[in-house]
Amino acid sequence: MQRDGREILLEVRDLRTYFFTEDGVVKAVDGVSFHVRRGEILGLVGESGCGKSVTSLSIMRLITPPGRILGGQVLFDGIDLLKLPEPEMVRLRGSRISMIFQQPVSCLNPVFKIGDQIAEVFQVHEGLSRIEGWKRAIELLQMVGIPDPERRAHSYPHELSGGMAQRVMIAMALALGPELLIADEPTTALDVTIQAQILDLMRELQRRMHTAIILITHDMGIVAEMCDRVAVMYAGQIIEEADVRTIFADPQHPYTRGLLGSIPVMGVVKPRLDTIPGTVPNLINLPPGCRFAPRCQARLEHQARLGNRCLEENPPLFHTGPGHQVRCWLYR
Amino acid sequence: MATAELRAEALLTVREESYLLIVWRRFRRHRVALVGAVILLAFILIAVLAPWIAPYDPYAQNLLLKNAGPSPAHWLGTDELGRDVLSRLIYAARISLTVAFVVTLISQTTGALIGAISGYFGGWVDNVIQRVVDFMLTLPLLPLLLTVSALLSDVTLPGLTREWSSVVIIILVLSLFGWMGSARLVRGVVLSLREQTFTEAARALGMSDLQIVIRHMIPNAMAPIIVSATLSLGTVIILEAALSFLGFGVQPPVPTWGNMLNNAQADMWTQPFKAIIPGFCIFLTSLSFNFVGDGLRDALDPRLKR
Amino acid sequence: MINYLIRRLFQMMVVILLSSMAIYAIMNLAPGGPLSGINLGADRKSRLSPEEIRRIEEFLGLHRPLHWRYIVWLLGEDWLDEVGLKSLQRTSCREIPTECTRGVIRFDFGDSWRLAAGQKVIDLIWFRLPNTLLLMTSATLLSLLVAIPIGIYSAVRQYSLLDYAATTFAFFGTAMPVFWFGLMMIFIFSGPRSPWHQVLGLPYLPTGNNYSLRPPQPGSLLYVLGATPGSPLDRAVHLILPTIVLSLLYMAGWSRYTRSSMLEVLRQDYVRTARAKGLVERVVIMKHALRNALIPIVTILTLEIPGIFSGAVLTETIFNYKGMGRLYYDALQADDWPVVMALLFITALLVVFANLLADILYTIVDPRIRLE
Repeated sequence: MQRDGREILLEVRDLRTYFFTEDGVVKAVDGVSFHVRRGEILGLVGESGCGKSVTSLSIMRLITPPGRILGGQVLFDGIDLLKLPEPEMVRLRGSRISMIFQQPVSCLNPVFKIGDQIAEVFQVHEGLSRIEGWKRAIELLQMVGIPDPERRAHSYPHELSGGMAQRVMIAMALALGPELLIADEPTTALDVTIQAQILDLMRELQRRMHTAIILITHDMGIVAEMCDRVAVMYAGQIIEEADVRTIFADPQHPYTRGLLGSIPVMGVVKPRLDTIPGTVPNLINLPPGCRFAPRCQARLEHQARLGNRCLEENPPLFHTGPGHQVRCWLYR
Repeated sequence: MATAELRAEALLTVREESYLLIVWRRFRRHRVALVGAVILLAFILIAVLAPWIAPYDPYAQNLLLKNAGPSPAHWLGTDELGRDVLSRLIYAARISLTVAFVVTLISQTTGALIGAISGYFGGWVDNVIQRVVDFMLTLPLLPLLLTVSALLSDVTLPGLTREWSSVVIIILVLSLFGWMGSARLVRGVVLSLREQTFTEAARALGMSDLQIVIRHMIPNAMAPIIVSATLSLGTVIILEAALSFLGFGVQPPVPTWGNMLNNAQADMWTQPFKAIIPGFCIFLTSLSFNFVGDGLRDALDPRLKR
Repeated sequence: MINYLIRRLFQMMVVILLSSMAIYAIMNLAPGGPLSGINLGADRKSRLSPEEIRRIEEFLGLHRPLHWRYIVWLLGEDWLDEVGLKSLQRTSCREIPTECTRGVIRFDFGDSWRLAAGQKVIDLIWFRLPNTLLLMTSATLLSLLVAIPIGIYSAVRQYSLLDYAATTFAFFGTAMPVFWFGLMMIFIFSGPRSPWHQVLGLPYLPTGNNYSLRPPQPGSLLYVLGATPGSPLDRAVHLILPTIVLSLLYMAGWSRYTRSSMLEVLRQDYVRTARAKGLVERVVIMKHALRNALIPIVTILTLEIPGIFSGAVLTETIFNYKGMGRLYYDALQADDWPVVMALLFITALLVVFANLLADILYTIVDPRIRLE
């Protein structure tokens, strides 16, 4: 499994996760494919509600009803996680793949001491006793830069700041040296200064432990700073994928350009736009054509060439360069 | 081009429907609630049409035909004074349902007003009211109801006979202890509305506090009040029956399901249906109110108002 | 914590004092006064003359103004002569010293008027208390044992067949009139007279009293078990039906609480974290989720302790179970106001202490809460 030099750790193929609600079927993830190489940081970018989090939870198989993974493959180190029996999947979670989330304080169980919560990982996966686990927990707290870890281990989550709690979550996630860390908006809920500290910590640990990271974010600044490659999601689909340089140098999909804050169309530099007009479409009643079409400025500008195709047919991903794919009729 | 855009537009906008229609559609989907509604409608119809449906006068005694079993003349037999059991059951529906509706009307309205005042004015008013509500909610209901009704059991209101006084008294007593739930509910709604812009707007337009509460806040609290009132109807039915059953509620000869059950106890083994049927009526009405309340809660869910 | 407890105890005293005032006022301000019912149902011969009623009033101290009656009810009257209010003492107090040292503060609620005329109310209550505690405990345990597992299952398997069954059961439980349910239970399990026993072979259980007065009937469960009248086994079998009847409402309510509390917790982020850590679902549910779901449940259960006492009024009455609930009913029937007041006062105490207990338990089960 080699591609572009480094070994592929995770490959998601045509993943579809729908939510069967009373109001209809929400196609939160609808045919998503991407891959992550070992030791690489992949940015998964998009507005809230575009299916980023559902994608990551699908990889972990943590989708709860009314959600259901309907199809596709999640190949982790060559094994299809979607076909793995539940006991083996359980063993994988927290040891080889782990995850951190957006609201660190509410992600920690309020009634247990944080030392116990970290120790639990060792108890479950390595069969350590509570005392041994607790010792390891203190080492980890030290590693993620928590001062006075012996005392802090006795704290309850509500006694921690958001930044501290996220450090605890990172300690817990990296306890067993996982090959893949899924970080779902890890800094969104934190103050700007704390954000930088947490990102630094993640990058440092990532280099040291050679962990691959899927970094989910809507902040292009973080992407520029952290990621090797970027996949942009819109309405349950990946609409553009490229390495980080290319994305910033040559964003192709009108939505990506919108995300980057400017819409240069075919050489004509237009005034900057602060926002993309309109909202993410209702994932129940999706338009038949390109999902971005109703909000797409470029579609109106290129009406003559494209005709009504954008409204009638959803484009496939077109290869536009090495490792660069885009889901837009403009690049057919 | 224009048509295509219109089509996309149509696909993106959700069809607008009237609120009541959506509520009804949701309610209809709740099968048990629908069944409950039908049962209640039947009971209400029986209660309203009692004088035309009941085969006999429920108070007419026939001392020659005491404790009779079922016969073509008396489908459910007669009681210890020779009164027709079926007719008494039908009239009992009238009394029990009337008590339940009147109590609920009084207690929910009072509760809503108290809650609105508490939430709207805040400060010490709110503090005092909330203390009282908290305290009353922790008090065990049944002993209190029993005590107060027992104390008032000898009271005869002017212009009424003793047994009809007992009906009025039981209504007052049950209302006295039934307002806390809706007070708390409405207070919650009002608190969350108080900060919102339309309150500011209304005040800027020169509306008085009371006008704001009555015109804007209570209508906004209507959905939860309706649900709580429906559920309260079920509770009141049971409480009234319990008091009447123990002899501290509605006094005979006015028939209610509770006091009929009390009378039927003695003959439980020889004529069990005389004890089974009134109790089953209590159970069925209360159950139906609970089902309908649950259906309404689902149907009136505020998420609808997206 | 200490500060909190001191402040809290002070508040409790105030609440208890206010409730005692309210109880006393309600009972004594009732139309006609406490002796209003004394001649009801009496025939011409046994009817009391106004003179006799006045004597009874003097004996009971009812001739004094209401607030003094209340104060004496609360504190006794031995101290009255020391503060120069000897005129307020009853003659009986001046004659018999023990009559003076009474009052609620000494846990003396006076004498029963009717039920056990002349006996101290508190003795009646002490005699009944163990029976009520037994019934409350067995009913609470049964309710918990049924409600918590059902609630957890219903939440974890939301919308499963069993969840629907539990929901239906809860509706039936809430809508069921306890007294009718009790009667039906008596009807079903009363042995030879019951078609259910004859046809379906349902057991023949004791349907009244706390223990047997006579050797058990052949065919009854007591007979099958060989229980001798008055033995612990005999008493336990007598508890079966009252326990089931008293539990029904709480099973229904508490299984709902558990379900909704558990559903709320299962939505929380930390449950997702627990799964992401690689915990098996059983540990996620029974450790991480349940521990949190129990926080509100513990509070609600504690606050319902006085409510169970009140539910026992109906159950004990139907099964003629000699507990405080039945005593309450009998006292109301007989207009035995000292007994009624004592029981109401004890209920108020129970409410206040249940509130305190709930607060303290809350801090124990939830580390986020500190009392101050």
